[in-house]
Amino acid sequence: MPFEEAELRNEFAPTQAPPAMSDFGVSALGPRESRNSEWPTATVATFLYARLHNFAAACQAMSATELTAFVNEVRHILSDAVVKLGGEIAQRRPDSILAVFSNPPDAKKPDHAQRGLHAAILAVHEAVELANRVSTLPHMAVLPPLTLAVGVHLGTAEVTPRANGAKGMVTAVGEAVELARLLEVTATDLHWSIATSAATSLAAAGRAEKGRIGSLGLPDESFIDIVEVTGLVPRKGSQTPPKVYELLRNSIAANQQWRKRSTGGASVTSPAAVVHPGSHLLVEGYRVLRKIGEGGMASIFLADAGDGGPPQVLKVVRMDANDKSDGLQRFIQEFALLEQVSHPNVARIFRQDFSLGHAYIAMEFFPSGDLATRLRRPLDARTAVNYLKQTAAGLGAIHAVGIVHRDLKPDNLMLRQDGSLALADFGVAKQVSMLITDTGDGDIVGTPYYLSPEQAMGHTVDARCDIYSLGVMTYEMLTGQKPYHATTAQDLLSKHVHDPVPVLPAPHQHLQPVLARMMAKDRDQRYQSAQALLDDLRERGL
Amino acid sequence: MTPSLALHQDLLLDHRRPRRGHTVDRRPPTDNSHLPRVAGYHLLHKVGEGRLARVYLAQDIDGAEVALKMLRPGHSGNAGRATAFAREFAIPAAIHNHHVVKVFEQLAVGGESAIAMEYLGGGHLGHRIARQLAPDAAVTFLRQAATALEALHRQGFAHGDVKPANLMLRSNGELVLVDFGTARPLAGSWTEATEAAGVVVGTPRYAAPEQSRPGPVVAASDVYSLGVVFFEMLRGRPPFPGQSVLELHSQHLMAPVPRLPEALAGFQPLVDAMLAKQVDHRLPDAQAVLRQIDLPADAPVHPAPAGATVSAGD
Repeated sequence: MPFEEAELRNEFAPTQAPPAMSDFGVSALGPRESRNSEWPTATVATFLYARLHNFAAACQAMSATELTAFVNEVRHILSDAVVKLGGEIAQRRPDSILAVFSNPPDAKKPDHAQRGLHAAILAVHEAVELANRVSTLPHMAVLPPLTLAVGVHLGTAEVTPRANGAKGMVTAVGEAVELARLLEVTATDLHWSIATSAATSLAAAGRAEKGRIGSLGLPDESFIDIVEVTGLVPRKGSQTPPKVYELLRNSIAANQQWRKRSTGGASVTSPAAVVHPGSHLLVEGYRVLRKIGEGGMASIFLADAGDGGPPQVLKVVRMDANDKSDGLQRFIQEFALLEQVSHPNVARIFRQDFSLGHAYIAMEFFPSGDLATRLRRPLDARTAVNYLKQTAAGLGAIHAVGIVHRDLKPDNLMLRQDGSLALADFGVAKQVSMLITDTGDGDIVGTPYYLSPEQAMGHTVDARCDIYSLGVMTYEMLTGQKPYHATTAQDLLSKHVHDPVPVLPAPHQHLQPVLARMMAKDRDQRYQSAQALLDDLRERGL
Repeated sequence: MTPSLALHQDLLLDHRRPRRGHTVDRRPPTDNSHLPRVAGYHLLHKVGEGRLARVYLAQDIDGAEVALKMLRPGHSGNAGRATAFAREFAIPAAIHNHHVVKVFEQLAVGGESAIAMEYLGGGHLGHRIARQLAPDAAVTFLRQAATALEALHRQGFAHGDVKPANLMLRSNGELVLVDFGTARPLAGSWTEATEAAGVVVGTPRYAAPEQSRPGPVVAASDVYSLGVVFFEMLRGRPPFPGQSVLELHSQHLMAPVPRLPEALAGFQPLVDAMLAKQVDHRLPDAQAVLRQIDLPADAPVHPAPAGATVSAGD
């Protein structure tokens, strides 16, 4: 297609040296002054932003002749896919394109989402062909492979024809344009070829084959659901041979494989170049339903894993590149430990991973609530002992891998519909919500009702502190009261350290020796393990 | 699925996360056009980032290095944060002390507040005390911090968040007190700062016991926090090992102050007097700390003799 002169002026002439990196990726939404007031200001359309990665590296390695051909070819690949599907070009850079797909306002069946996604798929295919050709040049073999990342989003933006009347060229400004760009970055970050919003994929009436899902957090705390596009679905009654679709699918997969490989090592920059940590949060594999909590560096969401199962709790902790705290180190270590725990009395961890500056854990969601809420009504003695045993079993499982809970309390014991009970908020899962950040100000102190004497005294802590806390909880489950009360935290702590083990009322007398061995001030006098406690309970016929 | 550490490190270095509405930044580090523009200053690069503010190294029109602390977008509208930020300028501006950070001017950048202040090229004390300091170095830092706090206390304010990260160093090694966002008039109440009891003013590892319960603002809270810092300088680790807010708070309230090893035992009375749980058993203010440091060797507080045997140290 012919290129408009105005467009060419903005770009380097192909025979010149490759452009400096700084010419790339600069946000320029087009000349705002060219907005035409006769045109509708807000257009619902599908916006595509595609960008060829490792373009500059390839340019730099080429001879002048090769470069001319290469730059022209890239331009054609990006433009042709758009033009073939009736799109208009809003911005063109040597390595990227922003395009708009729209329908006339009176269109019966708008198909711009289909066309936008179709164009994205074609562009990826063409880019893969190009990359294959380029990689056969002898001096190109060592370079990071050329890959295309595309973001496609259906939404609203101001679309106006160019003031200079350039054919097929428009100016596009608005939220949907920004989202298309953000989706391109998302695709890059997740090693996807094409990232689109779930709504766009829906509007494409099944023409786009869907891959993985994810959620993209926006600075205003809202989320959009995102979908990976892995192929084109034939139109009903399509005459195109199936192998064409197979080819497209393979290209998308190949592009994504190269992406993964090329980001494995290269592109480490000086820390001074680090952009402000993005305000967007990206989670692959989950559809965020709603935010259910926030604390410190962590956010907690209810999320859908897209597998048809029940919702899960997604705890996400932000990790700054400049965070050198030992907290982070601890986080990474315990991360591995947690994976080894699989026990009915421990909250299930479905998945844990690091995702682009965030660590996250997906855990079982407990719609039935926690034991603290349940304890507002009295428990019968049998249930209390049952809960005691279940909790001990859960503690045994986490202690076995070397995790000490340190903050056992009824709020951290979650109930299931079937009457079983699971430990939550321990180890890494705990740290996600209450990691000491040393950034200060505004941390909330709980009341130390369940804290062991050794924790209060600043001694090293081992698994036996959890046995003490379980003792406090047992007293509360049996009597409905906490064993120690005081008007100040200091007095309460002093009671943990100095006051005798509380005496259970008459009906529970037979449990007094058990309580005494859980709540002993001196941890050497306690049950030395959760298993020892369980054994003792069994011997007592409980 | 095993999280790969290598992958993780890679992610930590990831610089490609853009803010919405901006394209990805892949420009070389020398390019600073992505930095905010501030009239009268040429921003060089970001040097620090907190929850509420970012700090940039910049040059003023004379080419002199300054630090520009800018409130993160969106916070200027929050009355509490805007007030705290205003205090960050007003308080050090009113105090002329060599160990209090010098502030130059207050600016508004695109509706957000900013402060131009002295650039401190030596990082903060936290980086220095990751290893234990030699006792005389620890005492030097203690004296410099106490000098700054003494000026602040004399002015009628408590700092409220004394910790290594707020004790910064000039390139020549001098210590400087920074960050007056949590500072409060001595007559006031700590809870005014938080609107609620049970919320820690300051940082849990360093905050005095009284800083999380209703009660008057006292200079002795700064003495306590400085005591934690002093202990950490001497031992290379803080006095209380808690890993959660609850553990730390409980330990500030309840745990005995750990004993220093024999070589440092001369500092025990000073440490004990700074870390007393009860406000009325503690050294009341920074002036009292300075007096204790400077007591002659035969007085109740004995600084360790110069060259005392301490393994690690600078």
